[in-house]
Amino acid sequence: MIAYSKESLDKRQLHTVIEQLTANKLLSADDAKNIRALYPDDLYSPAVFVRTGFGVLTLIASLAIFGILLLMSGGNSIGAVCLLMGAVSVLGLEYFIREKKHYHSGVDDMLLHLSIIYIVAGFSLLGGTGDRYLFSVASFGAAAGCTVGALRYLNRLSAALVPVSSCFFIWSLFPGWGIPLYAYLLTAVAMAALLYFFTRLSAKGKWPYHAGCLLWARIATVAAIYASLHYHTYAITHYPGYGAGGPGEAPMAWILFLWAWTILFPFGILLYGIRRASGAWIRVAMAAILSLGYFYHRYLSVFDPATGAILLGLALICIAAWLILWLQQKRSAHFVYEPGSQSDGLLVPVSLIAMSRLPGPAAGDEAARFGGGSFGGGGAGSDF
Amino acid sequence: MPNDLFDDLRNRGCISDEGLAAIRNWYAHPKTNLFIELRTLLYIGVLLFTGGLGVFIYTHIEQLGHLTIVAILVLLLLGCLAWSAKVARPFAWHKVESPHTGYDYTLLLAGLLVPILAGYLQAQFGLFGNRWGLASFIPMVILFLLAYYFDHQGILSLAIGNLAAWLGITLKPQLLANFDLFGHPGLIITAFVLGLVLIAFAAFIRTTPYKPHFHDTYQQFGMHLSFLGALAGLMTAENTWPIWLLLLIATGAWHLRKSFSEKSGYYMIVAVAYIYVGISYVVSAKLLAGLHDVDGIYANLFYYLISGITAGMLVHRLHRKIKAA
Repeated sequence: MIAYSKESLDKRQLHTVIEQLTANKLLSADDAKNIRALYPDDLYSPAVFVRTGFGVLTLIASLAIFGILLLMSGGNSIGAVCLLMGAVSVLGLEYFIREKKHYHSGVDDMLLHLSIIYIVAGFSLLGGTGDRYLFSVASFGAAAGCTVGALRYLNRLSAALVPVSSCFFIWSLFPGWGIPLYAYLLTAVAMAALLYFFTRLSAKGKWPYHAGCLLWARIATVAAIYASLHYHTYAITHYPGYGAGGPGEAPMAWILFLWAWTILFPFGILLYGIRRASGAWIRVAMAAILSLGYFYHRYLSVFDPATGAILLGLALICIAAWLILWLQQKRSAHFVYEPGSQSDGLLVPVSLIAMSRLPGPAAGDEAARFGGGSFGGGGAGSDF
Repeated sequence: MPNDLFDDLRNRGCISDEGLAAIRNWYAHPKTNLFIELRTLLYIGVLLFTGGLGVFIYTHIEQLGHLTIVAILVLLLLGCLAWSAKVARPFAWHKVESPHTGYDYTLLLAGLLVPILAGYLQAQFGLFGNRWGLASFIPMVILFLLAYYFDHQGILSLAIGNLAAWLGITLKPQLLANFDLFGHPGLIITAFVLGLVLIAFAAFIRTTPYKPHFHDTYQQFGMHLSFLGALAGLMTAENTWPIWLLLLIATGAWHLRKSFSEKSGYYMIVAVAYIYVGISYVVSAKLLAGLHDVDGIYANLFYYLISGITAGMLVHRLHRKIKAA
């Protein structure tokens, strides 16, 4: 199912672990170098700037081909051209992965997303007419394409887009103009089910190579639950006909739920992140808590924006400064504040690497040791 | 605890017994580093605070009065500087480590307040009369002094930005009324030359014992300024665009060479990107401009198809070579 070689992925994850151990001064530079030499990483993944450059150049070339084909067809078969481009993009993607060993190089990322867009657009345009139909086909196609992108190509953005496109698909199922209010409630329920499903998959550990994708999918699902239920409650309490008879006449229970949900949910995520010692979930909670400032200003407007920004800025500075000082005193058992080292997620890749898949000297083979066994962190190395 | 991996590495002779014990101990008590998260929080806080303060002062200027505002700005600036001077490590020409995170941000706040205060004094009280250049020159000098004394690259960036503003205002005071960079060829030449000067200065200070680590900041500003200047010249000059194209390619070639000597994929991709934009502009706007209707569209599409693939292959090959160098 996975397009990449599992052995190559194991080596890549081993390299990630080695990098993190070195950053945390648990492995000497020499040891790290020797392990890297023993298990060379054959996947091609340039740094972010080169990756961006590859992505942009791939986009330019792809759009140029699309334009040429469209002109050649006389502009009458956009759907067919889209499908053809989708097929070409998938072939190109497989070629770059198999033959050129590209792994999140920018070329494969762009080809994957372009192929999804082309295929979804092709089926939508060929399938029929009507806004609702297009909406349904496009959102369903996007969800399916992103699922393939996450499962086969381990693409995290695709994984995050699965819940998002599923939301659009749910909304597309309701006939007529506009989206009824209960659609948002249904969305929240559906996303909760998806979250449960993704969490179960993560917990079982049967999808080791998809751990990153599952995390991104769970984060997107949680964001979708938060936003849809928030909007549902807000609409009930603010829009006449959606529960409130008029402004200020909303049921008190819904108003209480709105504020409890809006305020407590981000802190719930924060608590979850702290309990799991997960930097990713703490970052999500930070974003949600910062968005609280916007909700507060949007719905209550006690302060003017400038005063609100000053107060929120001061609060953030104080909180961050206090936390930094507290962490620098080494008073936390689970968190640290150390420039240059990054430990979050270290446990995940380690547990995934199957050493049996990695080629190299046989375990316990003394002759295979560097320098007759004196190599290592114990200070030997002159004879290595 | 995921011991399998490290046991295997130990058995394969990659990790010593002591190393294995340290790693096991570390895994037994895993700790998450919140460095990036807390720095981000602090950064957002400073942005919100300074941005909110700026808007607040602007909207309440009548109630507060100009003198009150100046007094607040001066007190805040002096307070930041005094505290920073108190906790700063002794001055040295080599890199001086920051005592802690709060120090960096307090200094950054002070650095931001310097041009704000100078601009405010000039706008409200006409402190420098009609000599607007002086209103940007003095903060620039102060910022350079602060950057070197406190060893702060953020303030150095502000100082270089002020240097560019001072040169622009000095050459073309009309910029204050109408910010139109492309309408003044002299400014484009100035930007390009300033970029080259900064690049040369960056290369120079690297060879001296005087803050050689400031090289990156000068280099970044110099690189983008020279490339943007050359691109602006190429796009605005009617007759001299071939010269600008040559200058663009020459600057790119120099950075490509630098990318190899420093094993930097960043310099390589930046150089390729600017050269690609410049050549593509020449092809589309100059060479293929004579073609009309479908012919022009076809020619452009084929150009972008071939050039996109060629540039991609070039980037790939250069990146491989840089990694192997």
